[in-house]
Amino acid sequence: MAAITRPRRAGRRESLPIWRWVILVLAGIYFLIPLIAAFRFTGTSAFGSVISESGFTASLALSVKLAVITTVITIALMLPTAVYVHLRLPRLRRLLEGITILPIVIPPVVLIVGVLQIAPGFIKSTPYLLALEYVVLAMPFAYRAIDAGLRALDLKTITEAASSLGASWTSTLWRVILPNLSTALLSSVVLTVALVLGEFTMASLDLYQTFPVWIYVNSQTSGQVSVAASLLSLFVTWLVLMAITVIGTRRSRKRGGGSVTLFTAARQETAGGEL
Amino acid sequence: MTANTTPNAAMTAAGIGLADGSSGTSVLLEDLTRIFGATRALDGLSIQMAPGELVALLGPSGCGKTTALRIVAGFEFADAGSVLIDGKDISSVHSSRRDMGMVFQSYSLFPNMSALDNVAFGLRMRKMGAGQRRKHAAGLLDMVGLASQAAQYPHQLSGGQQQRVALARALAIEPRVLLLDEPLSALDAKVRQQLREQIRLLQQQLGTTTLFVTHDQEEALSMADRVGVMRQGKLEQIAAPDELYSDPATPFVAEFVGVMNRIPGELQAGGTVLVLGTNVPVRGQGPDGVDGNAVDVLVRPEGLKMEVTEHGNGIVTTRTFLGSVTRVGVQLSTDVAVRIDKSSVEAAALAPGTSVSVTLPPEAVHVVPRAGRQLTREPDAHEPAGLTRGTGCRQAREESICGRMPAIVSRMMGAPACSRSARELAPVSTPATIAAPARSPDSMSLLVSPATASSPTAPPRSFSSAVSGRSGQGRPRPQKPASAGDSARSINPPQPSSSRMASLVAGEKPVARQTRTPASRSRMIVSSAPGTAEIVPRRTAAA
Repeated sequence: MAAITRPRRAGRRESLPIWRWVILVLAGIYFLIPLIAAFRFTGTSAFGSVISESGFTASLALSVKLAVITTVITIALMLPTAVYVHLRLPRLRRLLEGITILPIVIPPVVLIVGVLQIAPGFIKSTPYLLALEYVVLAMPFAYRAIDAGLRALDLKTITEAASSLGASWTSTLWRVILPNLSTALLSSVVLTVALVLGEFTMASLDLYQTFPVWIYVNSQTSGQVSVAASLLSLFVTWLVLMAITVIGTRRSRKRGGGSVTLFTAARQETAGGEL
Repeated sequence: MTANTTPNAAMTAAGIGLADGSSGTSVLLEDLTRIFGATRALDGLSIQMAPGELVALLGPSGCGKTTALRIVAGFEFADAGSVLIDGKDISSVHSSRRDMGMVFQSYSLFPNMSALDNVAFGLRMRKMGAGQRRKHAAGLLDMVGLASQAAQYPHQLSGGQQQRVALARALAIEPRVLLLDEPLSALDAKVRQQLREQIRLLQQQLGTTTLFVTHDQEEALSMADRVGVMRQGKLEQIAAPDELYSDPATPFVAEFVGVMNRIPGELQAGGTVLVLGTNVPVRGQGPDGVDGNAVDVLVRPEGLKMEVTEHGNGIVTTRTFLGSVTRVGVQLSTDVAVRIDKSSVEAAALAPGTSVSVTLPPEAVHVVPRAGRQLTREPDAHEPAGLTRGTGCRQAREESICGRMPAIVSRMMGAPACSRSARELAPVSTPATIAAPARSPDSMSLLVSPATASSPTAPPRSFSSAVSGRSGQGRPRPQKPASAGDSARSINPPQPSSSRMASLVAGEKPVARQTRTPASRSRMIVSSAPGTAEIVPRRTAAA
């Protein structure tokens, strides 16, 4: 019996990497074929003309501005909220998780119609209204990234330790909490920026030409340049995400943590051994 | 643990002054009350601490000691009462402005900072220049013997090293009061002892008034100038360690601090109690809620006298070597056992099975109600498990040993299974006369007389009567019969415990004695062949 089962087990062990490779290849084909097709459609010459295309600079500048404003507002709102809930209202964590998921559940069309109904006129007349809408959209991603970072810390103890050493609340936040949340904050920043740079529905309904809207509009007249711009933005976003993962992991390992992904932060590990 | 320089030199280098007798701060906790919902965490707690004094708050979990410490630190606020430092009420002062260094139970170092930066953090908050604070912090790290680890991050340090850095960090700000919230509880025994000594040495040299919270009485008694024993938010007694041990103010303190025997006694008129045939005075007002005259008398292991006698009132069951002293377990009656400390030289003659006469000197004793009483204190793992009498006691003991002693031991002691492993055990018919461990589960010995199964010797009723002054009380719980399909693993049939006692008293030697090893602790069941009892590894399938 043992003689029969042993080769089977060995065979199963050997087959596992193959299946992994099969899945990886299938997923790779699924993702890469459209990109390769897009690249073949554009050709290399279209990439050079993207920057000189009319409206490119203005739309990209607007998207970047919106990304910065959205990120600042989102972090400014979410960080103190998440810290406060962790420290003072831990029972509300589940409720907050539920609330922060709402923007994903509710379609952007519904959100924008509602916002346009109630927003004051002076905000409606500026493109920065979009930033406020994007804050709502980015909330789930930012909150969850920060929440994951906070869970990895013994927040109550280090806050009290800082306080007993004479640190004010702002000093504690700035010198103790923020440095330990840098990876989580970085994650939330990237997610927010990626979301803003890729958001189309709200911008088009608000009739502002952000970068994604410009890509769409431009595709009506110059399809190859438009697709080249899409590929460029995708590549840049991917590069940024990779950089954050690598840098974050290095920083995390320096302090005893594990690998960093966008939604996780490993707990601190402590060296064992003698005194 | 080796400091690179002497603590004094390191402190001088760090710019920290040694105690000159006038340093330190007086602390007064005045009638502190804190209520959480329906729970009174603190109920009128008042403590006065002299400058430079180390006071330990000791008590079981939930007694309010940590709440008191947190109120002093400013992390909690009292519903009533006040905290006075050098006569000034600081109750409304924010924790960041109280100048109190605190070492926490959990590792509290800032993960993003090196050991040096952690120590320097408090100085930075006090606007000390970068060069000066680094020098100061380096001196403090040197003081706790971690100069070479200054650049390491918390995750690169062991638990003991982290707590030493935390201690240096707390001392760096030259606190008015040092607060220690069970800082050693997460460390292993050896490290704990070393750090304990180091904390005490530094505290004495610096003369910092220190409030130390712990549930470990060994820590409290060895470190503190005075120890306050708390119970249900109230201070039962605060006194020097030796006074607390030798002159406990209440039965709770008597039982909580150190090892204590409970011996059945009968209250007599005139404030005395009859115990072990001796009439001794009762301390204090006597117990409340006594039904009739039946009480338990509390006596320390060193407070009992024991002599080898041919027909004594007890039989030696166990011996636990503790160095110069040996703790001898003596079975007095069916379910009354005591621990008696003898010098190891004298105890050499007290082999298990020896008949002895146990007596009590005519000194005042604490008494507690016998029925429905509670053993409110959990014995520490390193202490002998309490051998107490009666169903009430057994139940209390079961509560205290659950999760601490192997289930098999609980079962041998007549306790119901209180853990998964215990529930998995086959039914075992083990009378209560089996010797219980005298020190730790690892020294557990199982003794069964060969003649007990069919001993024609009727138990002398007068035996238990002579000891307890009554008979027929406190019998062991009914034993479950062994399952039919487990005959090979059955144990001697249940029988009156007193008959086993009688055979032991008669001097019959045990025929089987095995000591369990820690490695085999979790997978054991009791089994016996006729006339013997032994411990064997448990089968994989549940019997």
